[in-house]
Amino acid sequence: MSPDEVMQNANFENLESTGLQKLKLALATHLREEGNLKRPDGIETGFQELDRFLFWHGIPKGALTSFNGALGTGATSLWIEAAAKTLAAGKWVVWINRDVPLSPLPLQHKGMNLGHFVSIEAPEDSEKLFWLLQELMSAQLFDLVGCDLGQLNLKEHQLRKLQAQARTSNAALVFLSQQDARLRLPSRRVYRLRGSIASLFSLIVNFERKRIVIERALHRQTPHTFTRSVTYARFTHATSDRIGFGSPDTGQLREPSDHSQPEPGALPQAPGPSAVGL
Amino acid sequence: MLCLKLQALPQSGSKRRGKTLRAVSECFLKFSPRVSFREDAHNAWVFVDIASTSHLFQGEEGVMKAASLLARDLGFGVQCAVADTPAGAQAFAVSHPGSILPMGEERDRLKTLSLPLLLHMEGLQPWVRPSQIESILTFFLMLGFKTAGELARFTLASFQERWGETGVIFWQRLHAQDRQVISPLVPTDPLEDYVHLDFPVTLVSLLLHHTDKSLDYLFSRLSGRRMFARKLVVTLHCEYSETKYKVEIEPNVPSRDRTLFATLLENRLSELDLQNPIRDFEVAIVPCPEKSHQLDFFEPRTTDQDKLQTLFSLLLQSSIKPGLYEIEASVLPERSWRIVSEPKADSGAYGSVTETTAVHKSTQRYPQLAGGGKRMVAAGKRIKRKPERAAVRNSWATLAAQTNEPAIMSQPKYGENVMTAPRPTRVLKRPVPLTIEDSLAQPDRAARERMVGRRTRVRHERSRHEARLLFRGFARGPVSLDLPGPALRRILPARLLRLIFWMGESVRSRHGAARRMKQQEDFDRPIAPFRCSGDHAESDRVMKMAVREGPPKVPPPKGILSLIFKVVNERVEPLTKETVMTIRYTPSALMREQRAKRTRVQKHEASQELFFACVSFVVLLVVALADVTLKF
Repeated sequence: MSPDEVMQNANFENLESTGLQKLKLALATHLREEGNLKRPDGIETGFQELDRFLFWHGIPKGALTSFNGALGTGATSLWIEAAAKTLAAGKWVVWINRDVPLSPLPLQHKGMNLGHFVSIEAPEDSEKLFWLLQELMSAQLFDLVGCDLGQLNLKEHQLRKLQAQARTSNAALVFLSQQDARLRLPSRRVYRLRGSIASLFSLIVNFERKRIVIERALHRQTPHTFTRSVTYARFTHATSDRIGFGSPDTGQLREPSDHSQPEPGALPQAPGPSAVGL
Repeated sequence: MLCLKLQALPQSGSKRRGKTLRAVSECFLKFSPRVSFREDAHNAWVFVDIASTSHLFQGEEGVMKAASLLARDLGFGVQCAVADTPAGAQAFAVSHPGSILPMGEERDRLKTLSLPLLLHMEGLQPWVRPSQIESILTFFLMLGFKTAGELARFTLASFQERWGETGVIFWQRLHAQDRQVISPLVPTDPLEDYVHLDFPVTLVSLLLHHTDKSLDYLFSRLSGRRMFARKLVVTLHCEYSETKYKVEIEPNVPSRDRTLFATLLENRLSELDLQNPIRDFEVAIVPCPEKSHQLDFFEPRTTDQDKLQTLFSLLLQSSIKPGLYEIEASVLPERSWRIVSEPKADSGAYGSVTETTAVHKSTQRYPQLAGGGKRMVAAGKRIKRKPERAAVRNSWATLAAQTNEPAIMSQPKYGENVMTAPRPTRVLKRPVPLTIEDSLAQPDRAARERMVGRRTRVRHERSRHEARLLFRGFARGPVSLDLPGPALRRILPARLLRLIFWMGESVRSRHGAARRMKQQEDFDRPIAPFRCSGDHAESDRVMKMAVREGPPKVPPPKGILSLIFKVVNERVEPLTKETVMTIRYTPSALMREQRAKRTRVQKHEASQELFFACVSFVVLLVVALADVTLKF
């Protein structure tokens, strides 16, 4: 319904003639449906359910993102998918590795343009890492920055400055941390302490073995959970098929060893506003 | 023609002033290659021929604004004007600073100038005798002339008749007919700057304040030369203890980005401990040819490559290793890729940009390509980079093709490359060694060479066996041995004969030795250690044996030497048996014998003590028994 139609259909006589009602009607003329809104820039991850759920249709640009999860839970894979989309658009991507750099062979198999993929060995000192991130942001060159924090932590004022620089350069700065659910804090007291830090991230995703939890996403009800079945159906297996382990046309899906075999017909639908599974 | 009058230069006549002016004029090369400069007692004049380049800077006004701005940035007061001829431009720079005379109107505009200002109509060539010009102007002023236009009525012949050659030049400049041609300026001075601080600084920020000025100055010259900076070297001299720091900054890729160099310098200086104040510093730039871009009009001037290289330079300086992936052909997965800081040619990093930096680098790497450092690129034409470095490294065939060597090297053949080996530019004549055989066989030649002089003697000294010259275990001295040969052989073992030989030159007699040593001819003596009386063959045989065996590895002990000298010099005749036996013994044998003797004595003494102890014990026991027996 367009704002003009709202104004025409409004029955002013039945409404209370209060200022609040008039204000609501006046605002209704300016309100638009969500589908007509121009969404802020985001980088698609290739995980359709996640992209559909998030306000930015992917990883937000000009903001900070945190991927938390232990090794093998898929945080880096999700970042690589986003990097592949970025590189396909001819943009620049930088990866800051902690211990071992990413092997470029799988990336090359994905068809990624490694000429725009910069790899940097992260310094041991958090202060130096902060300086490095500042330089990367001020270079105005990269659209997607991935930083494997490892066990390092950046301070609040550093994150705040990086947030401002990311907004200026319109780059998506993604921190990957192996501290499981570092920002998903159990007690209210700790949450109160860390809440200011968490608010600096526009998107916080926790990767667990059986599910992916969106801990924080702007304009979305959180926490939101994706089960691994959805993940493997929509993301992991689609990725592995592309590099030669199967064909998406066959519909043959494979589960990890610690999961039960999925039913072929039990492919979950696209997630709605509520949590899928669990 | 643009004329700039520069003020606030160093003191007139100093060497520094000329150097400064020459360096400053390089900065104006960015406006035109035809730049000339001249100085007088008070000011300096820079003339730039902008006839063919003014359209690149939005006309003559744009050139003049940019040039005056540049001069002010360099710290000079400036007055400038544009005219058809250098002389007119100079006159208007003095009289009407900032004026731009339209093409062909200089003659008319000159008519409005007052007569005293004509003294400044010099241009590239100053007046030979300014006093004569002053007299001309005084003459006309006395006649009532006030402006230059009033002199235009006089003909060239009248000026020539009255003032000769000076009058002709004056008339030509008055009528804008003195066309002085400016030749291109070829800068030759090194890109260096030295700054002495009146107040030594310990703060990095204050130091950077001074280095920024030097960087401005040097990068302006670099821009004028159209070159890039490959390396920046800053040497800081401390006030105390002659300590100095040398900071070398070499970005990943040569550039003319002054901000980048300033940032890198700031990062490096912040790491220094400036407790010892900095008194003065030197800044030097190592230039390299410019990277020539052929950009479209809509193409951005700051490319991604520039940003990337700037970033890489910053990170590499901070010991952070950035890079791009480079896939290599290898069986082992861990060796199938590596991270390089320099982007590949055919990768996306250099996909759409024409650049010739690789050409410069390749010329350094391959000398056969030297001379092709700068390559002109036609509009719209793109140049691919040189073949891949990684591929070159891994391909033996490519390496062999570059070095003209077979892919698999065989065993080296000694002497094979003698003719192609590097040689010194000047080969000195080596002295011919005078061997024993030669001196014995050619006594005339030996005698002739003895007479040549000191230089020849030195040459002979050098021609002698090196080990012998270095062998300082013995001192040369008069040794005379008039023993019969067989007796010598019998008495002295071969080792001692060899020692005596290598001890030094042997002479026949003390008098002869003293005389020859005085004449310093002992080096030219044939090596004959023993002149055994009556048996030359025996002495020669011993001599050859000693030469064949070479000098001893270690100096002989002093005891043996003194003994030899005692035997040989003091004519201990006849040699007793004890002396010969002592000579035969080496010191170690003597020491062994003495040690054994000492041991024997000690053992004897110990046994004696033990005997006495036993006897005393027995006596005491007997006495005790006797005492007890007597008591009972």
